[in-house]
Amino acid sequence: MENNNILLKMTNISKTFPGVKALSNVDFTVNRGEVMGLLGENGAGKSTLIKIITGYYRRDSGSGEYLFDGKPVNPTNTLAAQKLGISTIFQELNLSPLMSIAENIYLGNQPLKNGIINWKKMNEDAKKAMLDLGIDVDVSKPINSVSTAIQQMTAIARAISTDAKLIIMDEATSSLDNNEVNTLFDVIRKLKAKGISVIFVTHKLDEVYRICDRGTILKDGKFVVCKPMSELPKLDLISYMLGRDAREIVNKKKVYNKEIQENETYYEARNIRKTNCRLNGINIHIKKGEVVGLAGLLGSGRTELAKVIFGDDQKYIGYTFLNGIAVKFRSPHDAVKNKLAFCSEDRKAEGIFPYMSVEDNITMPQVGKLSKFGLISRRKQKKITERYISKLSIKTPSSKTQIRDLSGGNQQKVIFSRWLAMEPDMIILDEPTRGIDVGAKGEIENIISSIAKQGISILYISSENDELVRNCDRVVVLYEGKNVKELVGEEISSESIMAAIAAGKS
Amino acid sequence: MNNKLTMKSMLGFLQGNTAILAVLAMMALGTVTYGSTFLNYGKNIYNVIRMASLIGIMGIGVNLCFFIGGRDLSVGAVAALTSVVTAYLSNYNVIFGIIGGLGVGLVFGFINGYVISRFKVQPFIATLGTQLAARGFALLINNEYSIPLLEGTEFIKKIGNESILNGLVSIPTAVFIILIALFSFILKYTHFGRSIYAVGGNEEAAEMMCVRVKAIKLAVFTISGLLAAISGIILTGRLNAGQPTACEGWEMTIMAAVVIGGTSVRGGSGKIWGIFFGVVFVQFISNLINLNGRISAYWQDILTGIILLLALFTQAYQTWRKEKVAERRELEKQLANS
Amino acid sequence: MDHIVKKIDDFYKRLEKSNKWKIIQPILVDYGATIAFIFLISFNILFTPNFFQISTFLLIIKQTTSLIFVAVGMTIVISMGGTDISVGSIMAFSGILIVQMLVMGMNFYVSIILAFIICALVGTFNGVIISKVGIQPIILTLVMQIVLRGFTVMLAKSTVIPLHKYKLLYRLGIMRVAGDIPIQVFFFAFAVIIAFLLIKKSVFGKYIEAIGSSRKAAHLTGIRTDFIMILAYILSALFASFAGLLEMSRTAALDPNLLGKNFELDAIASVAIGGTSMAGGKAHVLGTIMGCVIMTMIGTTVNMNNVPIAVSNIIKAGIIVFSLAIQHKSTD
Repeated sequence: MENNNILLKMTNISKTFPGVKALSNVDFTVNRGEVMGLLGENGAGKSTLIKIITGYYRRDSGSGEYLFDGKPVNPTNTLAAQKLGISTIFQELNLSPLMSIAENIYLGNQPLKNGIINWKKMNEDAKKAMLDLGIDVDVSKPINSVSTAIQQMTAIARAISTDAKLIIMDEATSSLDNNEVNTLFDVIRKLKAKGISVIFVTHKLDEVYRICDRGTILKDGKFVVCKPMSELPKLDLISYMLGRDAREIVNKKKVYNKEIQENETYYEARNIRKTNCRLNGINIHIKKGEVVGLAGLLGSGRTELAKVIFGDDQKYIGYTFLNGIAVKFRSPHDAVKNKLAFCSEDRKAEGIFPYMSVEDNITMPQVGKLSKFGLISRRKQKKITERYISKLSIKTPSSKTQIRDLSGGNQQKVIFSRWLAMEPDMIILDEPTRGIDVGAKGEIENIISSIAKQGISILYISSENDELVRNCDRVVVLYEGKNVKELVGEEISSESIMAAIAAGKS
Repeated sequence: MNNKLTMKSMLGFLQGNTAILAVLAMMALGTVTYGSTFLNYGKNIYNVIRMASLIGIMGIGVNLCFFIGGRDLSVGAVAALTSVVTAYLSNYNVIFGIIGGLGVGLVFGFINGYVISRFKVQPFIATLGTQLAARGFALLINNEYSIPLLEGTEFIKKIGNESILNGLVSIPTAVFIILIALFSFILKYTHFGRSIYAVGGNEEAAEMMCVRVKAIKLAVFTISGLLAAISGIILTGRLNAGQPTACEGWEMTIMAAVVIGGTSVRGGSGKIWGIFFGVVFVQFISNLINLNGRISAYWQDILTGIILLLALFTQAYQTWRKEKVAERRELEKQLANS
Repeated sequence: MDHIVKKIDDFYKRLEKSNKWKIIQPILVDYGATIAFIFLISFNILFTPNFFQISTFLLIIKQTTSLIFVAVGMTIVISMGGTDISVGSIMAFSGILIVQMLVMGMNFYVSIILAFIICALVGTFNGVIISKVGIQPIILTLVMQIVLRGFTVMLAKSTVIPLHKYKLLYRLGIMRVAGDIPIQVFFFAFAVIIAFLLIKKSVFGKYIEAIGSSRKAAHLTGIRTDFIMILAYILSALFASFAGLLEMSRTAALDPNLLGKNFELDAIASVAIGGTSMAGGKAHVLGTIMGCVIMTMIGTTVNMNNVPIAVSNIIKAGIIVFSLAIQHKSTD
């Protein structure tokens, strides 16, 4: 009888990627009509788990059990999962942008009359479905003309119309404002009342307390705990998320060197604003040889700021100074010329040149300098490549191997080499350890600290606070496009960063 | 009051449908410059619209490809091959001719669709390839000579030359209008039609919403081939022969008609009837140049090209402005919140 | 219909899954041109009368030279992730410009340089519109193809212009150096060297491949992507205009309707069979050159065996589609 109440039951799930164990023996259950929070830091394995549930990935063969609605299932793709009754609402919404709200709800199963689409009934049904969710909107409007919140409601309405039993919301609130979040939560409560279960994945802790019944916490691909939220005080939650060895991490904290604060300022940005309000007047400065951490939640403007600094984004207001002289980079080309470097968080799309060799990937920014009469010196290229392959111990069969054949950690090292070979004055690192397994993470961090010792300034963006604690001389906390707190030296700790982020919220 | 309202709504309608406005402007220009020579329905406008229809039937297929974000550059060559095959076979039996012609369109459309949907190649490269092949076959069949229609092929000749409703509407135009109506209906009222827009809007999203993306692409390119074949059969009747060099360079004219008709190059939206006005507009340009007689006929292509570019610029500008407006709206929202 | 599609699908999937295919596919992509080349040579030696002679080879090289220049430009543009189908018309356009200026009594060299500059401006226009305004290369260059052809025919007043009057231009077509070697052979060698240096050895070539690989990553690496893209289209136009000069001098006549016609298709086919990735990111210069020779040889073979010339079109189309099919890699 008790079993009947369980909608989704996953036991002992493992998932191995080449070189990385993303999940090891994870248990996960969701009851009917329950809102389950799935929590953990970046790289904890949340998204891998979600992708296994929705059939995007397959779990390692032979590992564990996946029961949905009491039956063992094994969806092979998202469509199959949808047919089982599992719908996902991604951060990047999967809707057809130019079609109306009504059509987006019913596309593929539009109501028919005499074999043709009955638009009147479809619009009426859609109107009703949206009203059910508490949204009064003109359903004939194209989806790209309405707010993100309504788009999300449309996706939810679609999920309901396809008889979803389980709706997964992945970072669903990251682009919503407060009112919109409230509406979304009202809708989630209505879903609960209908007996539909929700898996809620988010970084925003107070939202978890507002909406979730229970929370499952993952850490480094392992199951940590699953408890009702009422039995999970915030501090416990954070320490579960950061891992039980939180104190050891603090011990590993970077030794604070006061002298760095007396160095000259290398880079300064004053009152940076963007018209779309992702940046709301940020002030930041970085001294020579200093490692400045940029903390904050997703959408707090970390990456946007990095792109402004690197000249990739021109649409901003504000002043930037290099060595005290006002500059404005019109493109990354300008920034590189001024000895700035940037490692993007999206390594696959914005970092590597997948079909080119390791050698080309490392020397790309400087092929101009390695050439005579426009012809590249292979010898010099090879020399630099070999130097960095051994210096950063990049594991690659040869310098001619295509970079896409390397593991994530080694790809990241190649990108580091690319910039180090240029002898930069400042490096912006955006989530340098994303998608890299634990062993390689340590290596990457060692490289970062050795870079800092060479006197190169570093702007370190990360959503993993302990990483900032281990590496930074100073941490600037961003919240909604503003710098809300600055922590220097001894003040930096996982808890203090967390507290500053939490304080920014109110 | 009521009158004003309809005037206003009509103006608004025209603004949203530049193609109609363009056709009206063209007609005004024609009337002012050439007066009754231009306006003579039976002798001038009738012919212009008949020619436009011939191009437009192919244009429907190209337009459908635009809706899914693809390009079909092979239609002209496929129509030429169809005309040769139809003429060749019709001299034995008209039914063979028509079936053979349609078969050509089907086969080439299918090859296009298959290569594009399965091998994930850019449509234009694949259709450039089939264009080359279709033209090659067309030239091969009768050693680069055209094949005249012999006795007993009256049916095909009729399709190309006769008219209905007391000479008011030519048969090609009738076929064109029927096809537009048919496809308007399919696009609006069937699952298949709606799926075409979904694929064009966002392929990945369409896949997530249970649309069979590959099948839709295959179907659209096959339909495009079939429509090119229909156009080719009518052309055979019109020329009284199968002409292997027919329709050369029509790809741009057709694209111009599609874009001027209001279809976005990005895909995912648009109405099929825009092609009617687009294609009539493009034909009016050549008509005016022909009527003048002094201007070189090559200005047709040049002008069409320039107009296509202008239309593309306008589209690019509109997208840019839309983004700008959306950005400002977000800014205002943010300010209101704070 | 569904049934037939499924059967073809199943066949293709089985082929892709088989282990043999996994070994053969990369070989076909990289060495497809070589294999086709060897096949064509052996076919001709066995079946074509009078093929195995020095003069035939020189003739093939002579005929390939202008295509090579166009194809090198095309390799650059395609490996950058773009396309340029206006090259054939640019050939004719540069031809008519040169002839018009010669008619006006201008110096031969000055008129060539001026014509090249004008064609480079056309390339600049293509590049700027594509990189800055973001109009798709295929549509823009299609428009340019037809518009430039229109201008060419208009300037030539729709007639074929014989070039015997223009001594230097005519001599360029029939010149033989170092004994009995046609001058085109040297241009051929020149094109090969330039292409190899430019695409495989130069900074520009690296940037081109980087942009084709990932435009965003290239931008964030400090490469001036827009500038390089414009440069690529300029080069493509320049190579095409030089090809126009060569082709017109070789045929000793300027046919405004036919000069350079279908060269863009031959060039794309050469690039495709040569193993350059049609989606950008990987250039294969020697493959392209081999591809060009193959394209000419198909024409010669068809011609020497008294087969209608249209057959060569069909074979070339088959090559394009086949190359596309083998370049595709199954994702799962």
